[in-house]
Amino acid sequence: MSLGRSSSVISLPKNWMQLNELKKGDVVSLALQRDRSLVIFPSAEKRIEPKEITLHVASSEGETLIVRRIISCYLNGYSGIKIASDKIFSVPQRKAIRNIVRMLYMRIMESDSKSMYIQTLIDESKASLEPAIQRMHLISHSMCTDALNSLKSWDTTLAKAVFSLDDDVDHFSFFILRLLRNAAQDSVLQMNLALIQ
Amino acid sequence: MDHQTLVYRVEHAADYSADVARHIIMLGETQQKISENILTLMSTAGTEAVDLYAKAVNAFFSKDVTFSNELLERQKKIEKLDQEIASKAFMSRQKNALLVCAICSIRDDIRKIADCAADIAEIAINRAYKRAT
Repeated sequence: MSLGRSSSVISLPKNWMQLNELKKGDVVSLALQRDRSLVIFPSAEKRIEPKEITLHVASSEGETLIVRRIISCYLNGYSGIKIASDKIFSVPQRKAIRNIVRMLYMRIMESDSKSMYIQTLIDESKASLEPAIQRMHLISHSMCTDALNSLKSWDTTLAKAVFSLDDDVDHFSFFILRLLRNAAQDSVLQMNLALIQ
Repeated sequence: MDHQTLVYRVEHAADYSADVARHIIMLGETQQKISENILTLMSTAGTEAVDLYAKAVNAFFSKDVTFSNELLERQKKIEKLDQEIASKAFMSRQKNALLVCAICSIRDDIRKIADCAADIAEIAINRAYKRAT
């Protein structure tokens, strides 16, 4: 550590610079922790390149497997997913993809008989974790209360309303789990979501 | 990790309540009703389980250890009610298979909502003593 006029100077280890693909002149950010230590983050800008993946689907592949693969890509942080069939998509395959796309808050950006490109339009860097969980809990709690009320009053209309709300909870669940998985690999996102105490 | 477990439990609580609703719809379509004494017990256990669940989530965010521990104690009351519902369902004169199955499933769903609440209360306690990183 050497001394400047109003601050002290330390140099960054070369292998850390190489690991984070940093060069002279690049910007790093510092964060003061509760225990008074300083954490150095490589510039966050390089990290927000959208992750894309191509899924190759056989014409005979079951809808459940296709859906599971799309969910897995979504949870692992891919923003763009290209789904390419070896022949053409069957009607049940196309229907299953459309349903899961809606469930994951994604959009179909391009589509033809053999391929589809789906994309998430949510910017996770602006998301906040605890309000999202609170909102999910509010729906879940109202479902529990209404299910009990429909049991007490034998109200099947209310029971049907409860049943239809389950998809909304799933929407939130997928989104929050994606956020948490991304945060596990991204310390900047961990800081933004206040996951680091 | 704690948040991930919380999200899973909240999702499960919603799934169990959707399952209760599904059974009510099914019984409604077949014009069958649960007897009044079993329904009263189910309603008491259900109200207790849902209250436990809501308070457990609040305790998670407030990191209230004492309250979380009280919630875990209250779960025992639901277990007792659960056994009472089971014995009434099997000992009653209702021998309709569909009705008995529905009672068992709803009873199971209520117990599982209480289990979710207990899991959340447990994470709330563990989280409260987590060391700062």
